[in-house]
Amino acid sequence: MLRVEGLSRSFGGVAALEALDLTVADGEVVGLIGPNGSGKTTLFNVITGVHAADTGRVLLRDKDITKSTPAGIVRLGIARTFQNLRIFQRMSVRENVWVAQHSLPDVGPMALLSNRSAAERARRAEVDRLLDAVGLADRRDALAGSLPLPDQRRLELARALVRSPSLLLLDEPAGGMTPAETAEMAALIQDFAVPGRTCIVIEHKLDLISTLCQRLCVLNFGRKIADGEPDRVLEHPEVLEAYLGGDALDA
Amino acid sequence: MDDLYLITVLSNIGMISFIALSAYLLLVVGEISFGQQAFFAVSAYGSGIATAMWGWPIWLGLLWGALVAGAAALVVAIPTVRLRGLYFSVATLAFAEMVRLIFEIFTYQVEIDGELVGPDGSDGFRDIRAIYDSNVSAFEYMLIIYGLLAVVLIGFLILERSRLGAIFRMIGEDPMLTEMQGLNVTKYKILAVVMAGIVAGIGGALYAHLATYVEPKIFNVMLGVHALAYGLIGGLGTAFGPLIGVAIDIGLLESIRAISGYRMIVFGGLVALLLIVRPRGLLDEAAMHWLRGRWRGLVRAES
Repeated sequence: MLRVEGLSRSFGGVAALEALDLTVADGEVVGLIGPNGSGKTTLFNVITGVHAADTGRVLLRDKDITKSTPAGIVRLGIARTFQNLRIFQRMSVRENVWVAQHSLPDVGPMALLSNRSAAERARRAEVDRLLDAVGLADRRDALAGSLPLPDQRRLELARALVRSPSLLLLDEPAGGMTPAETAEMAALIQDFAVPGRTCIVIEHKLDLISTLCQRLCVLNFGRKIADGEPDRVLEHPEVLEAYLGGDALDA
Repeated sequence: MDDLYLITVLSNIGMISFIALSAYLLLVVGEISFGQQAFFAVSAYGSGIATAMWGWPIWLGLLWGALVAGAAALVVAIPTVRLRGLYFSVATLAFAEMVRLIFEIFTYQVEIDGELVGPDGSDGFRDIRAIYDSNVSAFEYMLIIYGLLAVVLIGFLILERSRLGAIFRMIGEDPMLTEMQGLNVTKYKILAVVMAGIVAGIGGALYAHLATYVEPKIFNVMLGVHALAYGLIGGLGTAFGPLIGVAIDIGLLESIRAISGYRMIVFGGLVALLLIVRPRGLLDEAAMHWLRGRWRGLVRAES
């Protein structure tokens, strides 16, 4: 599904990603972990075209997308959520999901101007179905900016799913949530977002990661330091050192 | 206050509403243009030339003016639309001043019935008399102005409910996030600039024919600044916002003679106050969201 080859990107001389290789198979759910500043979000930004790669390639189903625009990459079937929530605050909850349909291939000039056709009614029904599924049915007319944080994360998830992406990139989907909310989010992703698609999840919360992922990939200073089954990766000495610091191991 | 005075005030409100809507559309896509007066001017001259010099009928002159303004907007849009914020504002201002200075030296006259007709540099363009020659009264012309304004306003209201209108609002709020919904932001911004140019152009063509005389200095930056302020006062949540701004400025401040001397002081103060208290105007997005919610509630209660 996704292949990242020798990907490097630096900001002002600091390497955020350094010669990173990563292959994600069809239908796989991979957890991406690592300390703050280890390059996880930068990887998402390079895959989605927000940042250009300095060197290396990103291939989606063997098609090179390294030089594609963010809009083009979305249309190829990659969707994402954001660690620091990005929603249209001045629009309603329902509109925030609806807007992801504007660029669907079957939305023509007429559909951009009029919402009266049967196809448009079906698209609105799809929006409501998704909002229902993520548990926002009774908030759909609220202004998106007024939602509490866990609901804003659910909204981002619904928006990411509207276009039925084949690859879903989730950036800390439970960031800032209580343990109970995190468990709910994990269940929602497991039952609703994951089936039928490939997924990469950035998360610090290991309970969410261990619920969802069959495989973990650990970054530190832009390099991959471990990749494999969760239990084995978490016992890897370099991973322990990266997370706990060198002193913790000696003690 | 006699009838003709009232008709003149209402006609002015109607004509200025077009340039206010034009600036508002760009505010919706998140850009501040100090140059919408340029499209107003290009169309005033273009339509005047078409009717007074080429003998075209008035309706064709209006259409031509709007199209010329739209074409000028396309020329401006292509190089400037990738600029953000202050850079876009400065570029539009520079373009508008360039247009005004070109009209200061632009001379193109033909002899009609022994008299020279046409733009004559800084002396302006006299005798754009199509509506008087065809015996359109001031009242009838006011109806034409409001008829066209109604058409444009309905267009804006349809846009507000449509996906295209939502795309414009998305760009205004977060261009990168818009791009990440699979949309080509540059393409839609060019479309917005061209649409705004056409709308300003309709106002300019109407203005030239009511005034019968245009000169470059009318189209200075203060016209564009006012156009911006109307949306910022009235609100950016709906196309009615800039119209409320125009009504407050021209309908109240300029037309009530007792306070007209203080117009700019009151107007400037109002803009400053609103920018602090309600940065997106009286009818901002939150206000419109609340009003639409109430409206839906009422409709549901009725049925």
